[in-house]
This record gives sequence, structure tokens and C-alpha cells, in this order.
Amino acid sequence: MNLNSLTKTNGEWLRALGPDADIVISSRIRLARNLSSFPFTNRVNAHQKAEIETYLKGRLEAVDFEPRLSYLNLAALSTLDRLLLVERQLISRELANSEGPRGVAFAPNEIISVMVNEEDHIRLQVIRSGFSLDEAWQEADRLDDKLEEKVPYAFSEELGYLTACPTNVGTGLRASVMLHLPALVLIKQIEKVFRALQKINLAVRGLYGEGSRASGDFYQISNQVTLGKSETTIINEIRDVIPNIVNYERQARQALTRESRPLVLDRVQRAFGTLKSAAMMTSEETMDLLSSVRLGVNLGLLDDINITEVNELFIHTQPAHLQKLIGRELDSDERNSERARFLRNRLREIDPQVN
Amino acid sequence: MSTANLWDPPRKRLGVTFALFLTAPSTLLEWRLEIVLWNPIMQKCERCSSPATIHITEILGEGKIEEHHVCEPCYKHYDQSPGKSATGKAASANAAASELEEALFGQQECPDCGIKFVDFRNSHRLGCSRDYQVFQAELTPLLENIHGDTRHCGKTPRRYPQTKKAEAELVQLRQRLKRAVDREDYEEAARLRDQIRVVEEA
Ligand SMILES: [Zn+2]
Ligand SMILES: [Zn+2]
Repeated sequence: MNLNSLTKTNGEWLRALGPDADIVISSRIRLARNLSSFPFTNRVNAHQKAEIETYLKGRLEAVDFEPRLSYLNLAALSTLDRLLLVERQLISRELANSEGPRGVAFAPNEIISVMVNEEDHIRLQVIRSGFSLDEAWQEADRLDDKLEEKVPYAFSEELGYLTACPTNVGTGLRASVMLHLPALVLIKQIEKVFRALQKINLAVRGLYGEGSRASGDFYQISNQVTLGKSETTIINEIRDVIPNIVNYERQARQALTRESRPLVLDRVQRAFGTLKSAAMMTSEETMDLLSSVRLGVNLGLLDDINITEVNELFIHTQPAHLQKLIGRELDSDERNSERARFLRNRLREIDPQVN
Repeated sequence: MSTANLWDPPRKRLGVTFALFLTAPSTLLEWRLEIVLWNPIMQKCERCSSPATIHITEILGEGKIEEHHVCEPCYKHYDQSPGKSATGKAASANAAASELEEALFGQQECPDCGIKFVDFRNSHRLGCSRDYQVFQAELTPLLENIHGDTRHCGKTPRRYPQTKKAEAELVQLRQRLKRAVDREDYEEAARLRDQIRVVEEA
């Protein structure tokens, strides 16, 4: 498989389609599963790890499921290619950085991916654009059923699907929704949202799951509890809370345009101007500026660029995507200047009036 | 137009929508226990040098929050530390109890993968699926802490009878309904009743 072809598209989760796509970026379902006949990944030796990989690769390639999955051996890939897959959310950073036999099976549309030898033997994931948790769950459930016909899972009636970490035991389900909340950040109400979500046991993370700082104002909201509730209950609890946050963000946006329009316009234009003209640009700064531009487009304050194009810039300016597009490995200074050059060129292509 | 408008939008209007969140079930605890799984950047425990796996956001009220990052063993002490409900005396009694527990159970080994419970405490990962049985006594309180529950009522692989699953969920939902009624949370009770109907009809 040629990974370079991936860089030409946006991937499912940044397609900007689906319900409430101006605020809800994507919906994700992840299921953790283990083989009953092997110790968990952290306890297997190199030989067993290879055995698990061969076994699951065969089952995944043969599974009676459309779209067909193709398997990628991650150990054989370069660090850069693995990072590319992380940026596309096809694999976790943890899997990319671990060692030994491991891989990922995914569908060409990048909606479905199955990680092998992650913290659990199997991490099945479905990502849909926009607010589509139910569709994502149905897809994940269907693949899980098909896989289960061929693979004996570690399961107990009492505790459900048995996982390496007790925080996943039970359904093994992590449902998450990624939101773009620039207006709530701007009016400093985001902490309130966090606190309310914490009260109902939902977790909030940044775009790539790192730390508490959410670059680009992207927030992932997911369940913490996996045991004692059915999948539907878990999904419903998240689904029910999202419209409230979406409304809250919408009201914040309305309040901003109504009462502080010149200030917002200034912020959006400055962000766009900086992206069009800077000579050095870190990925952090790019994310933050693009976030303002995205807000501007959604508020109708900026019509030089559309949402799909903004989304594309978000992913294309990530370190691995950028290096793939430039066609060579770059150190961090080179990256920052190439990123700035890339942004200038792309924005000139999008809007020829840009000088 | 002053900058104050940008940073300080009308609170009332925003506050109303916000209150809607709070109709969802609230936790028993006023602070949150979050065990982050996918976080590749391991923070260190603030009390010892092992990796912090428990991140606590304590809500002090009036918009003040305090964050703590600790490992599981240190968390036990955090939980009992002065300022929390337990007194210092109780904390040391608890420490002694866990030493005793360590002496009694700590040496037990899983016959399949060979880990001891202390290995799990250090790595936060179990060695194999049998560990859930082998260390059941130690894991049950932990599961209760994390999930507020110790019994699965979700999906079952096809080879397990479906009826058992529905039964388990119904038992659970009914227990929860009873608790909701006991604490006069009628909104939650109504929600649970609807859920029970859905399960029964399925
Ligand atoms: Zn510690
Ligand atoms: Zn074991």
C-alpha cells in the first residue's frame, strides 16, 4: 500500500459533512477486545506477539465484511509513515511508538481501522464525520460480530469483555465526539463546560488525546465508565449532552457577532493575514490561527476560503503530512519555514487575489 | 464597544442552556477520578516518581479548581488525606490495613501469566484475562471506584445466550430505579423507567 496517496485526501473525519458539521467534527467508537488464549499484550513474549499478529492479520483479511480491510505491518514502516497514520487518527500514538510485531487493518475510506497488538490485542475503531455516533456504533458492532465469528474473545458473563486495563473492562467501549469550540474558548466559558461534563463522568481531551491543552480549540468528549451500562446507554449519555454543548457554542457565536463583531472580525482577519504572510509557522500556531479562520468562515465573516479547504489545511500542516507533501524529512526549523511556505502557496491557490 | 463585551458576554442567556447539562445523572463524588489510557505523555506522580495514572480535578467552588496527578498507591493516601472526610488517624489505620492486605494477598500469583497484584499496581496493566478471577478480591473495589458498578450488562458475543444479558441489564436498571426513587430524583427515575421499557420490549 502506498501511504503517499493518503496525503491527497482529507480522511473521513475532516470531511466536514454530516449533521452539525460546523461544530461537531467527528464521532468515534472504539472497542477493546482480546484473544482468550493469549496473555495481554504487555505480558506476551516476542514469539507470541508475532503469533497473535499473524493470526489476526489472517482473520482480518478474511473477515466477511464490506468494505474490505487491508492490513499494514507497522513494524515495517518508517517512523514518519507511522506518524502519518497517527495524524489521520487511524492508529494511536501509543501503538505507533511501541515495539515489535503490530499492525493496523483499515478500509480505504478510512472510516474503519483495527489495531493489532495495541494495549489490547484488538482495538477496533470507527470514525464518522459530524455527529453520527449511532451510525459509527452500528458499523463497529457489525464488524465486531463478524470478527467474533472467527476469533474467540476473552469474555466473562460477569465482567464482559476482559481488557488489559480495568478501566476498559465490560463493554470495552470508548465513544467520543470531537467538537470545535472556538467561541466558548474566546468568551472563557469552556471551563464551565468541562466541569459540567466531569460531573456526569465524561472525559474531555484535546485533538490527539494529548494533555489538557487543546490545540485548535478541538475537544474530544468521551465516556469514562465502561462497566455496568449497555453500549446503547453509554452512547445515549454522550449523544444527549452534545446538543447542549453545540447550542452553547452557537449562542456564544451569536453573542460574539452581535456584541463584539469588530473584535471578532479583527481576530479572524489577523489570523488569515498571518497565515498568508508568515515566514515561520509552528504547528501549534497554525492550529490556533486556523481555528480563528474556521470560526470566521462559519460566522460568514470570511468568504475567501471554505470549510473543506480549512479542514484540509489543518491536516496537511501536521508534521508528518507536511513532510510527506514536501517529499522529504525535515528538522523542526525547516518544518516551520516549509509550513509557512506551504500555507502561503495554498492560500494563493485558493484565492488568487492574495498576494 | 469595549473589549469587556468580548470577554464577558451576557451570562444569563448562556447560563440557561448550561443548566440543561445538569439534568444528567450526577456522580456520588464531587471530584473526578480519571484514569487516562491513551495519554502518551506520562506525567509523574507528584508524591513519588512513578508514572501518574490518576488525575484528579478537585472542585473547590467559586470557580476554583485544584489538579493532582498521582499514582495508584499514592492515590489511596490522597483519598484519606486530611481535609478529605477521613482523619489522619483513619489514614494511618488504612495504611496499616493495606500493608496487612499486601502480606495476605500480595504474594498470590496468577498461574497463567505469573503476575502478582503488586505488578498490576506498578504497571496498571493486568497480565491475562484470568487475572480478573485470581485478583477478584482486590479488583472489585477498584472496579466499583472506576465504574460505579461491578457487573457487565452490555453486548455479549453471539455464543452467549441473549436472554441472560437482558436479564442482567433489567436487574441493574431496576436497582438504579429504586435508588433514584429513594433519593427522590424523579427525573432520573422517569428516564430509567423508559429505559426498562425499551429493554423489556426488545
Ligand atoms: Zn506515587
Ligand atoms: Zn494472569
